[in-house]
Amino acid sequence: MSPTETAEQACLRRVREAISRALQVDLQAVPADAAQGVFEQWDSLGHLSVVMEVEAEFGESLSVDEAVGLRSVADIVNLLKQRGHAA
Amino acid sequence: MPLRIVPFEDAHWPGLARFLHEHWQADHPLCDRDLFDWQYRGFGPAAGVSACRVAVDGERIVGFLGAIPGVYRLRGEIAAGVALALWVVVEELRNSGLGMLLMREAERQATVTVCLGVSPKVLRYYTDTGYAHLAALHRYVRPLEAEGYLALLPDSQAGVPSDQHGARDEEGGVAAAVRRWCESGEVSAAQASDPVRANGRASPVDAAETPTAIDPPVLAALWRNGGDTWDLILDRTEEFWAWRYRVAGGFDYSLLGGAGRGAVVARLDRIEGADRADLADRLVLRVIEIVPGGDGLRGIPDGDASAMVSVLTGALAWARRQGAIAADFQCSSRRLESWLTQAGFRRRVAEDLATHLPELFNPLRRQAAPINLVAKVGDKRPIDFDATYFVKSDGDMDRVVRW
Repeated sequence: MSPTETAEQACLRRVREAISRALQVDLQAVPADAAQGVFEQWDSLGHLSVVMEVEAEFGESLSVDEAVGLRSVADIVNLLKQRGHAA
Repeated sequence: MPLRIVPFEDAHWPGLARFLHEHWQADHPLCDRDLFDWQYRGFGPAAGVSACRVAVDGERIVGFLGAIPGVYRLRGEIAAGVALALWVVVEELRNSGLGMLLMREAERQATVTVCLGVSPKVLRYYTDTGYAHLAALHRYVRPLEAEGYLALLPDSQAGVPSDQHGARDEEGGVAAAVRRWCESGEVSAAQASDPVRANGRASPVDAAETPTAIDPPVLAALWRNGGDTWDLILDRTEEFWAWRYRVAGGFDYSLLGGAGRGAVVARLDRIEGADRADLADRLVLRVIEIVPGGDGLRGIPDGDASAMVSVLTGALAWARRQGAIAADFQCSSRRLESWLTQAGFRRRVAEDLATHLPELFNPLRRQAAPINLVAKVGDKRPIDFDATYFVKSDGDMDRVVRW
């Protein structure tokens, strides 16, 4: 986290980076409002990759219910906030 | 209650039957509990339908992955495995990752995971997650009655010039080549010069084998002779033979051959839904398993394989007497090819149009995709598919579609 970056901004950046790695797309191609359906790669397999990258990045384990419910960057950030990652 | 993935249990059945009917295929035979229980029972310590995984949202079933438990031999070591067989997710949750989560849960039970007949639409889900892929089982075909066999070939092929079909037909045309193939067993110059063929053992007019009921102890004993020559196979125990063929749901399998000589497990398919009147109710011999006797597979390719060839030709002769017009066999390996060619089979290749039999006969489907195979093993070493033995009955590939 850079000195000027808030915890929430850092969380958002790490989520975008995780998605970028999972879907093998440029970070610039993953805006804060990115959602499933924007990328061809974000299908069922891509989504599992996103979930696994997020789990690895944040040291979390997501339930099936949580994993299936995540459809966007915002969904992921909100879930992580609930788990104290943006505090 | 949140969405969760759980092992199948009896209480799921009414909802699962409705789910399969509504979201997969209406009135499919698998919606019959007896067939479902048999298909997903499998064999070995994990036998039972609980290897299947069900995604449940509250009380509603939203996903299902059929998994058939079995025991495999992976490079000589016993390993637990599952064959993935049916993958269904409700439409609104497709691309949610639920399908992949079902797959991951099923994989966790096993060191070996295989799937046959993978749809091209989802093939990437396997190949991108570590599965090795064989595009099609090797398919060997054989005419038993020329005119009937020709009727099975696509209409346009009967008049194709000889230089385009690889049948070495001096008279021209697939039809003449098939007639000669059928009558004499002559397939190619190489096979014609084979001493076993020269002795006349490959003719379908040889002595017919007498079919008997599936005998699991005999088959298991035969299999033990050569089972350890493969890198990856189902460990074909007595329990396996009994489950897969003796009490099989919907199909009647026969054993031809026997102890000491080698055996063939086969069934006769009655052609239904034929697009030509002359094919209605004709029979096709589906050779499902080839189990050598004696030194068995250790003898390939140099050993004396005449006993196995004799069993194969005897099976063909029996089928011909029943009125069968064609025979086929499918396998992930080409190790059995020497015996098959000596028995007059020819491996399907794109340029040999005389080998282009339909994939399905009951009902007849001329355009169905060939059976492909994906496999993932725990040691992550590459898989040499020629050192594997997967056949038409592995996974859920040899199961009735009408009940």
